[in-house]
Amino acid sequence: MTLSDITPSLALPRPDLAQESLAQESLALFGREGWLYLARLHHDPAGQDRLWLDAFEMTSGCWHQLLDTSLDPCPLAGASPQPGCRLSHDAAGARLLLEASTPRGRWLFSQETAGDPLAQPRLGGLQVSGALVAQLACDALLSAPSGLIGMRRDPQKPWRIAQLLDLDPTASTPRDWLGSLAPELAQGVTQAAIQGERLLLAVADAKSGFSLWATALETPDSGWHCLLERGAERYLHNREVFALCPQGETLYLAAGAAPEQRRPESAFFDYQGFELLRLEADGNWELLAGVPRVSPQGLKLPLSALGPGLGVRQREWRLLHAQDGQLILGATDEEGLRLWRSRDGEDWEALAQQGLEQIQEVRRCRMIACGARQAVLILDTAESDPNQAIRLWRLDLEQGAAS
Amino acid sequence: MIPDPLIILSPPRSFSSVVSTMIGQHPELYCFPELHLFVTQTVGDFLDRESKKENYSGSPGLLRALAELHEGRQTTSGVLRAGLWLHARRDWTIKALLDHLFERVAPRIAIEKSPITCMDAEFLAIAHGCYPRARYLHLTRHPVATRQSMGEFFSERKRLRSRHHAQASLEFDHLLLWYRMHRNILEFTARLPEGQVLRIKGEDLLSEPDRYLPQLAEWLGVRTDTAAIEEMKHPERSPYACVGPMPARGGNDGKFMRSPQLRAGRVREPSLAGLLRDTPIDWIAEPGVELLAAAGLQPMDSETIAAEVSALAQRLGYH
Repeated sequence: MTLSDITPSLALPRPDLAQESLAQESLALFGREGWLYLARLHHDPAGQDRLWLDAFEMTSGCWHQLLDTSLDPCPLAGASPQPGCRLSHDAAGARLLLEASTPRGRWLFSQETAGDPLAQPRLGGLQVSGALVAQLACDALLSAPSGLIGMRRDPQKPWRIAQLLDLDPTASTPRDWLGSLAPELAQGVTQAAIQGERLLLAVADAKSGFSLWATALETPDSGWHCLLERGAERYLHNREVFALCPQGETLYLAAGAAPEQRRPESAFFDYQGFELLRLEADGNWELLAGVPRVSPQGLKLPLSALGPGLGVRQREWRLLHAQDGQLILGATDEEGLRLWRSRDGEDWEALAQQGLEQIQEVRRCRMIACGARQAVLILDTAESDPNQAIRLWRLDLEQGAAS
Repeated sequence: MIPDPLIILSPPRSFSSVVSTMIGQHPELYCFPELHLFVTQTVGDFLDRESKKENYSGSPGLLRALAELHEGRQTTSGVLRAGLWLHARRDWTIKALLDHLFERVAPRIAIEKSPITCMDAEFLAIAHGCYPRARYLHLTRHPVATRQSMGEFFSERKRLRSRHHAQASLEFDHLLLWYRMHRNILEFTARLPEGQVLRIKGEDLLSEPDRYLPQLAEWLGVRTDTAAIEEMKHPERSPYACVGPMPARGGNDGKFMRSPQLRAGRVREPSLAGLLRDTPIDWIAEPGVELLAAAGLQPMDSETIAAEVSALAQRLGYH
């Protein structure tokens, strides 16, 4: 496995990485087999709006510019007070869609040629259905067996999922999956994932610790079932689930309390770091890394033999990503950002930092799959140089281990 | 080879007598009564400290344990001999005395539980200094139930003592004692490796012993078979599960010694939020406030104290 810096020589605007599609910002990233697409929107209230689209080819390591255009008013209704752009794909998954919106209007570009990753996006050329409009308004898409579910986050509280909508083109009104959840739970949903035939939701709770809920996608009337509660018996030290990563029938979770949430001090003075958990298909859960404890399901000892923070207390969680049967974990400590990989959550192999240690103060990061075995790591750093604030790193999962 | 002990950490009135005695009934474990030893470095200092409490020969639990282990039974004459034996070893360190006790019960793992150890960070440091590889079981009980139990216990003690020692004292609500002692425990255990500490709610253990006792046994690395667990459900079989002989009648909670059987049924958890909402709490009584003022100090406001106690309760899984 190798890491290489692919940050383009552009001043990338800082996105809100808590939102999968960076909806409120003027940067969007999207991964497809062998390609990473990067859209930038420049909104100038006194001048013209401008939109760029670049594509990074994973095999050659080259950037290609696909679009550089000014935006003239105003082909679609629905102008947004906040400028932003989004990348998505059409229902068949063959054509890239690029939406941009500013206070002046809203534009939708689509690739004319299906299947060509370098096809130029054109304005219009696509029938704008209600389902497509709903899809484009989402911050992320979940692929369910019966179709797509769109996720929207609360613009005021981006950690919170505000809506989970069925994007069924035949339905007159999209179903909101949060509507069937108890209101006090629906207010705290932070993560959602689809695993097989079920939809999973993680609910943050500042007093009791997170809970994890599931419902059957085919029979939603059967209601929601609690899979884990009380922060998996760690109470409010597992205030929230940071990441939900399904791998086949197994579900991996990273949980803990974010630094800004560790209040009051009397509840967190002995907080020791994030945990990794694994939920099996039979409902049993295991502690992979964390604090040993008793539970109604039996004694839980960390199967990796590592404590919170993967063995280093106060190490801060940054990333948990599942791809190609592997888990990638990212965390920051005194040595900067560090990455590990594992196939089962029990044996963790440190990856060589290969330059990541040079990056001071990673604030947030996420990873986008660009095909089965390639991914791009996106880092939002505290770097004041606008050319260095957002960094992109290619991760090749096919390569041998490096540590 | 003396196995490293298990040290149970809890405030008083937290089920520690019944829980520690239950654990100690496992065939591979041995629970002592409250020894109160981790408060000084030497036996001489310990005896001087106990003398101030009118325990001139030592703490009742220690005297009972010495009598039991030296003579195989606890009698008044045996307790007196234990006291003489102890006074002859004033130069011993506390570690040497504990090693002597633990050697007597080896290869069983010794269990030490003395709530006073959690009163002061210094006492916890003494325990850790003596046995750096000891395991620690942090036993908790709901703050409201603990407060009520402490209130009943300490009011009786205060009534008895006031006959002889009438003086102003820093009187405070027992929720603050619950808070202070758990905070001491958490600050201490946070520095230990994860595998050395386990935390358990007393309510869970007593409500579902068949679910939680095997987990404790597994953590300690001892037998988890049905016969061993069944033994643990009979705390009344401990030699310390009864009132001791004069002049060492204590050593465990009085209620437990009078009725040591494990009771079946769910131990309910009251509501802390309800108590704080419905009951005006005098966190520090007027004499205490005056004492603080004389020292140039001012107590925190009630809302802040209530928030602190609530947060720590939630940290431990209580509401």
